[in-house]
Amino acid sequence: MAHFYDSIRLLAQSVTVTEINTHLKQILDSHDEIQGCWVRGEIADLHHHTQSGHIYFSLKDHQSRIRCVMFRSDAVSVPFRLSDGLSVIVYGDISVYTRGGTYQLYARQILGLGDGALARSFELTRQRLAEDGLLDVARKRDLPRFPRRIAVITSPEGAALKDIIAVMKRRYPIVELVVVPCLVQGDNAVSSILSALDAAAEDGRFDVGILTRGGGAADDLWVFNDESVARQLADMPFPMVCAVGHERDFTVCDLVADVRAPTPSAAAEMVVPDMSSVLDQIFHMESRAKRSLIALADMCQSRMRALQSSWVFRRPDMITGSHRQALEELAHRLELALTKIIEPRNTKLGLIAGRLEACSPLKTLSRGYSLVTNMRSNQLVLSTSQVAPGDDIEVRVSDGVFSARVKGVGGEPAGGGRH
Amino acid sequence: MAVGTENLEKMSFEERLAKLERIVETLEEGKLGLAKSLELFEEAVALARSCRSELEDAELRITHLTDKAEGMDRPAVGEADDEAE
Repeated sequence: MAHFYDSIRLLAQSVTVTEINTHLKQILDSHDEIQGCWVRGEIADLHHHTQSGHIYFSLKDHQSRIRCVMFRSDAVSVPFRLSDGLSVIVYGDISVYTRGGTYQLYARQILGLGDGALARSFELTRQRLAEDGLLDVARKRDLPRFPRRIAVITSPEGAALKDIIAVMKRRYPIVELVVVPCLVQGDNAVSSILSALDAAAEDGRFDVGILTRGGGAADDLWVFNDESVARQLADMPFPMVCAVGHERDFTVCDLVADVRAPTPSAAAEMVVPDMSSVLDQIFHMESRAKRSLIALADMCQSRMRALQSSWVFRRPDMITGSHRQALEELAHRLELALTKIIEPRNTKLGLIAGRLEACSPLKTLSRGYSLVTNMRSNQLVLSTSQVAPGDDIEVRVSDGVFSARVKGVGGEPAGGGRH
Repeated sequence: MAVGTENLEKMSFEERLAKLERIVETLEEGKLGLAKSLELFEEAVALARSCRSELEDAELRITHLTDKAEGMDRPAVGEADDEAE
């Protein structure tokens, strides 16, 4: 019964299901590279086992999948809500589940790359930056209207740079675009971006900068959520525009930057003015200058016309006419004033003159008296003692004088009137 | 004083544009005499001409700031080139 003994031998050689699974488990467990490894993928078939509190799910990418389990003790420390479709990185050991004959990833830690976890991590960083005042609106600087030297901090190979160059060439080619090269993804990206920001800051001649990279997967953009990058971005000595990924991508750097641009091209458009609009502005200013000058010339001309049509030029005689009239009026007033002053005095003078005339010696003379003056002594003769015989005398009567000589001097008038 | 072309050369594009703007505003205020206004107007025309020709003749200058940036001996790895524009 060869068949029987063969069977006995085969039985002796064979292993049980438990043995093979246990063996496989030992093999896997002894491989360090699959013990304590990080596996990246998307969550599928998520199942929370309500009684045990364990979590069962699959990690998959577009070609393959792996079963995963996370025990309750680890599951409680996952800081976000798991859901199907979430991109995660799972840390754990790969081993065999001997009872089910499946190998699986025994998850111990899950880092989210998708919405929930990203949002949470993002929020924590945002809070720390906000506490330090780095997100204050007052910190945001205005972009220069006409930049001259622009730092573009990005991968020199990337599409972002090509887009920015294209926009600046078209819109405003008068600037100098300085590429500050750095890695924008991968393990060294953070330190590379930090050094590039440093170099740009030290250069000291930039008017504005753009930190940018093109679109990519969420974890490719994660470097722009790095806190140290964000802090250094906030520290830049010139205004910074952040343009990472697409419109829908929003990073911590976007929050910190002076301006956030939805795309690299949009950043370029924000940073430089449009040449054609600047040309329009120049044209506009030129015509404003012309208009002002024409207005000024018109004003001068109309002022001249107004002056020329003045009565001064049409009736120059009117200038003297008014003066003449004024003069005549003044003369009249002067006359009146003088009359007023002179008239009363004239009257008074007449009275005084009448009185004066009443006591005038001439009046006495006309009644027959005469005045005798001794020519020798030149004195009026009032007494006989004032004359001696032979003196020449002058006698004044009412209508004139005549000369005479004293013949004799006596006490009493001796006939013949008074001399 | 009217600005000669040699002075225009020394001023940056932005300075010239700013000066043009200032002159236009001064002219619009209309407080200056005719002679001074004419002088400023000539200056404005010269500024506008110089700005315009600089813009029209300009070519984008692209340079690299190559010191210090670490790890640039190898090219940036596989940045996704799926730009939206």
